[in-house]
Amino acid sequence: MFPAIGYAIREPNRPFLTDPAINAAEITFERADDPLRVETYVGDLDFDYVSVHALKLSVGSLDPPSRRYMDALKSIAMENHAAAISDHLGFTRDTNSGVEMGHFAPPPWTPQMLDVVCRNIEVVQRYFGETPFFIETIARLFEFRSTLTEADFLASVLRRTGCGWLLDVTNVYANAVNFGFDAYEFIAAVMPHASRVQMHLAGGRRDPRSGWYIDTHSEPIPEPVWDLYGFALQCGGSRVEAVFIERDQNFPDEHGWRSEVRRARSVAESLEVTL
Amino acid sequence: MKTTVPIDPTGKDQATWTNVIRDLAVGRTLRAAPLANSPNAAHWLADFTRGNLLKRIDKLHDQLDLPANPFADLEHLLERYVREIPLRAFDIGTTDAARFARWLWRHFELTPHQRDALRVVRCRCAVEALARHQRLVYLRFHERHQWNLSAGIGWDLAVREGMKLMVNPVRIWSTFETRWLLDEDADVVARPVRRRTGEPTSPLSLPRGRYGVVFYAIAGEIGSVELAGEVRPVLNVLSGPPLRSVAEWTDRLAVSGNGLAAAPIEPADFAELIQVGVACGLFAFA
Repeated sequence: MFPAIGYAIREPNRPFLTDPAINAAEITFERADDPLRVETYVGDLDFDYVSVHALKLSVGSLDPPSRRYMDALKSIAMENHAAAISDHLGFTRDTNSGVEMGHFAPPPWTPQMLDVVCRNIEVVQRYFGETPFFIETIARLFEFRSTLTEADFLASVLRRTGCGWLLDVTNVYANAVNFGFDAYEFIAAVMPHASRVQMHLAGGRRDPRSGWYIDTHSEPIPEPVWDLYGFALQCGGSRVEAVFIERDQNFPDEHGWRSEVRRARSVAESLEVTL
Repeated sequence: MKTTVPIDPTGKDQATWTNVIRDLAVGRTLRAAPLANSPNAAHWLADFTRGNLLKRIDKLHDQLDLPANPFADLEHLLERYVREIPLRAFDIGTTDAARFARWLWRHFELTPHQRDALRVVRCRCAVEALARHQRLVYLRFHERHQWNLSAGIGWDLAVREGMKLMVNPVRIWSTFETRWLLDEDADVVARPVRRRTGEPTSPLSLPRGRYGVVFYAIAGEIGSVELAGEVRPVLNVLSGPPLRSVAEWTDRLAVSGNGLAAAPIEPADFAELIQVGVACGLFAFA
């Protein structure tokens, strides 16, 4: 199966979403969730594969995701004929009646938290039924004291829940740069446990003070990420369903929008003969 | 002594974990830093929380969309708010802006202009919440209204064909203290509904210095219009079941002591109200 390829929809890239290289789109739930909207978020555009990307399921929280939030997510997914739902391997809140931090942080990589995360993902999967759920590797700048590695934790989540892996190639690259591990080994270790795969590609920048790589979604995709993407495609083979490029700041011109998605496709096409 | 034992949020450390997250939600990192086990964790935790608070302030700016901002120290107020009041779990839509408006209302001595600006914010948030809650009803009215516009359905045709009258169900009333957001050259809001004489309707049944404004959802946006005070009970009567034809309403409302509205409404005034209301999305013929 050749992956569907496209962008995470942002207003600046809407004019280019009819590019022949694009046959997939990702909808960020929080952007699409406008109660005043009278048309679908995707609108007149036609894609082979649409995925709804959530930010607040918070599967690393002690309470399972709220029914109200999942209902809202489902209505966006149904309106836009989504084939999949995704969110991040992290937590954004304490409890359902508690507070929200605003962005996801990694849970402690421990057996106890593994049980919590797996239970929450199973709640989500039961709720969404036939629509597959993917869990994304986050870019982290700190981690809590742990007894497992992130790779072991993630592999266990995928194995126990059967959910898909949203491999953010740039996040893995950033974590590898910042925490000193081998990104290729990470992907090779986790990929065998994923039943299905989506990918994210983006570009960040180096923090001048610390030298860390920050996943800002503001720059072109860097060469090491393109290389890692090719490797990940080979590892994932036919399980890779879709690839989405994310850009949230410092938007490129038309050439920039078209060239990155065409490159993402051509890398996949060049590998297809060997898959 | 620094420990390397991981925290157990699921067991004995649950309360500590909750406190750590509540701290992080308002930008405090002291309790979280010792639980981290990565290079420069204190620096990155501070970076993480600062980024989250800035993003929240940006979102609040978007959500507030304050009319002719009457708060000279808005940035300072927002910074203080996000450091005092954490975002609620599963906060979606504009609920944070509504909470910010309530927080200002409770904690500060506000001028009449500031109170009116916050009324706009709170009404817009309430309309969004109502549209979310009654999504199908909202869409049904929108479709009917679009049909009115595209087919050019006007008062005469509606009367002739015995059409029924629908009131926009996603609407919130407010009463303003000043006119600074209501006058012709004001940014915000409200186009006054005019009488046939061409003069803006006066808020006859409201006390001096009180102005009635209705906010409503239409075509993906929030509209607002200033209406005379006596129109409010009329709107409530019109929106109650059963749906009646415009001709039937005209007759019923024109009767003195009709028991429906506070006072009889002249058929010509009623026709004018409905026609202007249809044009701005407050009514639709069905």
